[in-house]
Amino acid sequence: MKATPYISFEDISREIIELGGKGIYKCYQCGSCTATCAIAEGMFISFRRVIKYAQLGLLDKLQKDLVPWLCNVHGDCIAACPRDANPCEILAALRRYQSTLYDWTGLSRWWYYSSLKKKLLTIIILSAISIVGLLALFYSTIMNYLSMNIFVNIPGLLPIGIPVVLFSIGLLISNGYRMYKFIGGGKDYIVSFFDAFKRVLSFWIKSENEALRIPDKRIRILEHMLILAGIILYIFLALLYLVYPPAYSSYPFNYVLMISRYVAALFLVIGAGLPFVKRLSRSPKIHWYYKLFRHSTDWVGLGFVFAIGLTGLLMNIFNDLHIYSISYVLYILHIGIVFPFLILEVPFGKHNHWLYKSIANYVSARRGLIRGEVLE
Amino acid sequence: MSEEPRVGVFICHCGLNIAARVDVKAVSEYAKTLPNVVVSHDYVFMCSTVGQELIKEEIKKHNLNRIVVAACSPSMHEPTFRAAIESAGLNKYLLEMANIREHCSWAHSDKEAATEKAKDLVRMAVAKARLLEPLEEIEFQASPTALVLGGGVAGMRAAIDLAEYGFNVYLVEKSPTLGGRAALTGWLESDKRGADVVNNLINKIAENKNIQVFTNAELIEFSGFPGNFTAKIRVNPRYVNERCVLCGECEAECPIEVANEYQYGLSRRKAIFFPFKAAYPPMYVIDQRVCIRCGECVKACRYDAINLNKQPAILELKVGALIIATGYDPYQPPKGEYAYGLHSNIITLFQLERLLDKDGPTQGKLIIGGSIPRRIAFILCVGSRNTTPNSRNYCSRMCCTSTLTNAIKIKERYPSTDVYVLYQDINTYGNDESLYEQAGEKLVKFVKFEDPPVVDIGPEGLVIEVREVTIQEDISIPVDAIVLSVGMVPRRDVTDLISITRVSCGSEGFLREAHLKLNPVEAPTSGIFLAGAVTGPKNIIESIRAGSASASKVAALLSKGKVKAEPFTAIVNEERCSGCRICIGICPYKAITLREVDGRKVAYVEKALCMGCGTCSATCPSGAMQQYSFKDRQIIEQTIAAIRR
Amino acid sequence: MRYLSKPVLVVGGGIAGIQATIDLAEQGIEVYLVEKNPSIGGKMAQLDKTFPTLDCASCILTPKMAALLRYSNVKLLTYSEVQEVRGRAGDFTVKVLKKPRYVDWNKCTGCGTCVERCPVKVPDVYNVNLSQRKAIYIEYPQAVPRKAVIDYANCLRLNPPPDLREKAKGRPLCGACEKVCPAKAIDYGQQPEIIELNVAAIILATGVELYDARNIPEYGYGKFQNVYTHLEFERLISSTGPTNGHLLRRSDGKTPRKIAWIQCVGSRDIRFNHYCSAFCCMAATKQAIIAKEHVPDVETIIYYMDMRAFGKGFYEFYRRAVTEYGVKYVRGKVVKITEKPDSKNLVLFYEDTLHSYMMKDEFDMVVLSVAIRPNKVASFPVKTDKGGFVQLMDPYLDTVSTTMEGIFVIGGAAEARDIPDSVVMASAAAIKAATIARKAELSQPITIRGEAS
Repeated sequence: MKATPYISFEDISREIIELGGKGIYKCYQCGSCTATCAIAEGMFISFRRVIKYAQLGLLDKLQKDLVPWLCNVHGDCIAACPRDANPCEILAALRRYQSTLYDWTGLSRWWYYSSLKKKLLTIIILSAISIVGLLALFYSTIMNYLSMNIFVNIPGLLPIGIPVVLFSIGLLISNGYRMYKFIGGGKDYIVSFFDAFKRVLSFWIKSENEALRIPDKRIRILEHMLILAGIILYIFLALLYLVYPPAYSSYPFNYVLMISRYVAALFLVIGAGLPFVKRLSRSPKIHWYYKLFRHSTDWVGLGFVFAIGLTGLLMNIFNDLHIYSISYVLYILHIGIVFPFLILEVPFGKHNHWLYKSIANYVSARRGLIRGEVLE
Repeated sequence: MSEEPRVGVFICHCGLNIAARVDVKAVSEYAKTLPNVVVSHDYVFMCSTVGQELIKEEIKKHNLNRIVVAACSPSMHEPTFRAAIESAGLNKYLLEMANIREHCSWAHSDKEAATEKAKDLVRMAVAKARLLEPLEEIEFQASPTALVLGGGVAGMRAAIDLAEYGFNVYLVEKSPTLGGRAALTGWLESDKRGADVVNNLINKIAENKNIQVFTNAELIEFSGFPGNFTAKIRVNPRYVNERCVLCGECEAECPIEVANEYQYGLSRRKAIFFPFKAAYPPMYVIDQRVCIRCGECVKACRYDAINLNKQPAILELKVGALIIATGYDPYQPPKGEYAYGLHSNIITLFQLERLLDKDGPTQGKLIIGGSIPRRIAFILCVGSRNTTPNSRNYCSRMCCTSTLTNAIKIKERYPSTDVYVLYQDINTYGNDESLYEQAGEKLVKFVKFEDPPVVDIGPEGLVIEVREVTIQEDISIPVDAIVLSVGMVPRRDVTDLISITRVSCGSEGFLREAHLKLNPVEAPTSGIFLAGAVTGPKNIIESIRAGSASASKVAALLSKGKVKAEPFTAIVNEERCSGCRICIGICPYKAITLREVDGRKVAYVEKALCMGCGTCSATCPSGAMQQYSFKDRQIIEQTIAAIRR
Repeated sequence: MRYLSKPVLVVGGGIAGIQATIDLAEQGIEVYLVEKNPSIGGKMAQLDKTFPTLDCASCILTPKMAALLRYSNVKLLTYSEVQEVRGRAGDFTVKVLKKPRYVDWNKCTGCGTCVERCPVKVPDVYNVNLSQRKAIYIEYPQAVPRKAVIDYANCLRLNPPPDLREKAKGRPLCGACEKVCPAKAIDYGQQPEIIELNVAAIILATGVELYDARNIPEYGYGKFQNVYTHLEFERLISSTGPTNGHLLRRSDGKTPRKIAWIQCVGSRDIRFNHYCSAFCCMAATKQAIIAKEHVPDVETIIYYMDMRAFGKGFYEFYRRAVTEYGVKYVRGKVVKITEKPDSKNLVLFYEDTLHSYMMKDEFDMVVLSVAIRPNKVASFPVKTDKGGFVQLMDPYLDTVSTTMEGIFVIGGAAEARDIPDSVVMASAAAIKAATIARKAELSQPITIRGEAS
């Protein structure tokens, strides 16, 4: 008997199909997707190969592979595929599958395989718990502020909120660390840290620049950027309040920050809301990309962002209109949505893709997978 | 001949086939210098209408009476050019061809030397042409009967087409039933099996009075010429007659059990057996190779249908044409190839088809090694494409389609079974590409290899070790069952057929057709036609089509009622013949006899039997035996021309 | 020869139609062969060599074409199309439109003088538009029948462009061919004719056309000069082609040093055609070998997904190409081609799937193995499938009968296939059509006006 490496075989066809990769067995491995891909053009990788790993159920290889996280979802592969297998969505399904592998708690797995109804129910229950908890703890405080006709962030929220945030981020980082270990982070590095950083940055800028030239991709990139910018701005504003609250009342910063609050909220509402609108629209001018299948985790992820942005926006509006009763209602709703967002979505749902992508890009750059010279 | 030979020489470029290596213009100029050559021309495609018109015009213009065409092999276009000169008023046998393609431009790379050789060949042809005589074809009455050898789908279809056209057909089948291997092929499409196709054809045969079926019969002798063949067949006794009602009582009593070849060895049968459900003729048969003549079956039979004393019968059939449709054998992997024969869960594709067939040994349930496999792998190209030392060097054409059809069937019936297909290339050509699409939709998994996989029998079961080349990894696949998609090989007894009918085969052993592109159903021997997998791997539809095509060629040959034979027979100069009888003994076709002329015994050649092989004229010590178109003088002149520049 | 049967109609004069006609004629059946082009021959007449034997296509085709002329029971109706079919098996009434060729074919000798004098040059479809022909033309030198035809749309005399017509003020233009024709065969006033035939059976051999590669803009066909289809390449390497068999590329007339073949262009692709075109893997191999014979040091690479070498002799041919001729094979579907503006060389984008990374490669010349599509058969009462191929009634029983009894289909019109399979199908249909024809009773005698065969 010849000694060959035994690579585990599982039938993961059902899982991948449930996670949205229903075209996976249509793939006959022609390589068109990799050949069209701007990312594959600049790196020594193959998206086709990881699809093959998934087809054959090679769990070991799939677990170790960082390639699905390198995808920037340009969608060129969808039109190039001669079998209409939608490689972009297959890769998304693989990312979801890999997320369930990276997570050690098992909650990610539960989250990804739950139906949309189950997800919504869970969110509602968690929101209800946090709203009931908020009211139970701070009802009198809020009534107090209302009677004084002022609106302030409830200070007692901080000792509860910070641990929740730390817990959430901690879980996220722990999963990130597991991923780093699975993909063999720290091994086979041939490029220095700074070189790798430079390469990733320049490669990312170059490929996104090229994509920006195409009108429909430009719009999608901008939508994504809006969400990203909105979240970063939101975090910055929240941190600022924690660290240096006087900034919010001193002139002229208070005006800048007020505008920033609106900007952040609007970014989130528009960036996350547009895909919903386009999906439901019957206008023929909508690009076909918006009509493609998206997994329930994607919709829920977007939905969270939209709801957080909307409640935040309305809260600010009613605040500046001095109708504090409604502001507080929105405030409670806002926190009620942020809580399940932090508990579920950030460590286990769609939102952790930024961490996994960063790790994957870093490791692949240090491994020298980014082509140094332009391929001629 | 009294007239002076006026020779016209025509050199063909054959596109670039000849012109690339031979300076055709120089050869044409050279030809003009030869004695008796009146004109010489060259043209790019001499066999085309333009080229033929050129020849005809030159004949008329210059009163040519002998033609030399230097071009491709006579086996390609001699009939073409003969017909051309005949339409210009010349006797068609006043043509001599010089082969400057296969014998010259295709064989040499030195352009100068090839040109010189071409000139030599033309000179030789002119030398012979000068001595050509006008000859007449010999006409014979043709028998409007055809012999179809092989009762598989190709043979049956050929028989039906010929019978419907109006011919009488003898359908001779070696095994006890019609149907061939297609009857054992399982699912062809979602709702059609090989047995259904065979059923349809058998029904048509049974109701057609023009077809006489001989089963359990073999061809033992074959002689004659197109339109007038004599075939001897031996009908082996079945020992059961038409009083049989298929009750099966005899079978129950029979003590002998052997592997059932109609289930590819997956079950057993008795010495007295009924091959399969739709078998025709519908009666039992005794396998005389294993029967011990105990007589239990005779005792059990209530209908007096068994007679153990039957003898074989020899029949002589007079037919006009022969269609060989004897089919193929599945490749049988030697013991140990992919661990075949070392584990009961490793089966061939043919055996799998029996398992999935509702008339099979498991009534259509996929039970291998006692249970339904959770994971099953197909290995393609077994026995084909040089994958293993024992493999043939060709692709067996039908295995990819067959494998995917069965893989899809398995996934439809047993969705939780994992199906792997290990392949080199997926050859689902034409509209069969839809099978590849369907296989994907049914979640069949594909593994591409270049080096053949290795099958290991481990303590936990079967493991296939293979290098998947699209991911560049060595992987080990644990499976419950393996199906070897074996290819097609020529039948073991094809060598007997070749010696009886004198057809030829290619290097792989399949019978060779007259021309791969243009005459794929005719044998090079006139009057014999080839249909189905006997010439090479084919699927069922292609075999049936070839059956119809060969029937068409038979109809073309025999529909006129007469057949013409070439006049290159031997002829005796009776004055010179000494009656030594050497030629009589040496003639392979028994065409020469001794007869009395003017008180002397001299040889006589029966034209109908003479095949023009030339053996007698070469052997004749007195030179009395000559062969038309190959007379001593013609050959001597040609030889001298070869060496004298 | 007495015809004891009703005639049979064969539609399409490619190799399949020709073989069916020969078989029928040999069986003593009267045959009408209708072909829409001026000459029979079809796609095979445009090939240089055939796989796997490397026989020259014309060498094996033209004798069959010539043989047709010898049968007195075969009537060729070229430059004609079937307009309408009515009736049933044994008794079809077919209306055939004999297109006006403006030349009296009873007088025309095919001498070609008119062609030399004609002033109008248009793209030559026989050479897949790689060269030009005149408005009056003989399809190709070995055409059967070898007669001239005037292309109405491009003839100055018959269809003058409006500006020239005005200048001439009503006087007829040109007329050069009429002036020089030694047989006085030009007939500008010729009218289309409708011929009605009563036949017992019909054999459809209408064949295929190439899928238009411009529908796949990623390959730049039609924009990039050095991107060819496989049929165009076939004409390039033919000794009777636009470059007399010299392998020269369009942009600068130089000999290419590196040629690529791209397989499955428009085939096996649900965006264009689902089916596999069956012959192109072997055709590309053959063309690569021939390219090497023309230019011994040329580098030839074939980009494929599956190498389909399934027929007799095919796999051995493929191995020969690799071991003897050094043809290279890369498994990867080329997805895009770009052109280098100065050298007009082409860059192919593909993934080398056996090494798992994306690659780009530069070539002097690229040949696209485009899909074949069946020609339209709208005038016939038969069903076609999704791909446009004529459906068989029961492929396992009869193998050539369409959904309409008495109408048979052979060759590329039925399925993408190569020459031996088409020829077998043709013979198969011949005997079945002949059987119907012999059974049918002869109705009124058939007369057709037209050219002598």
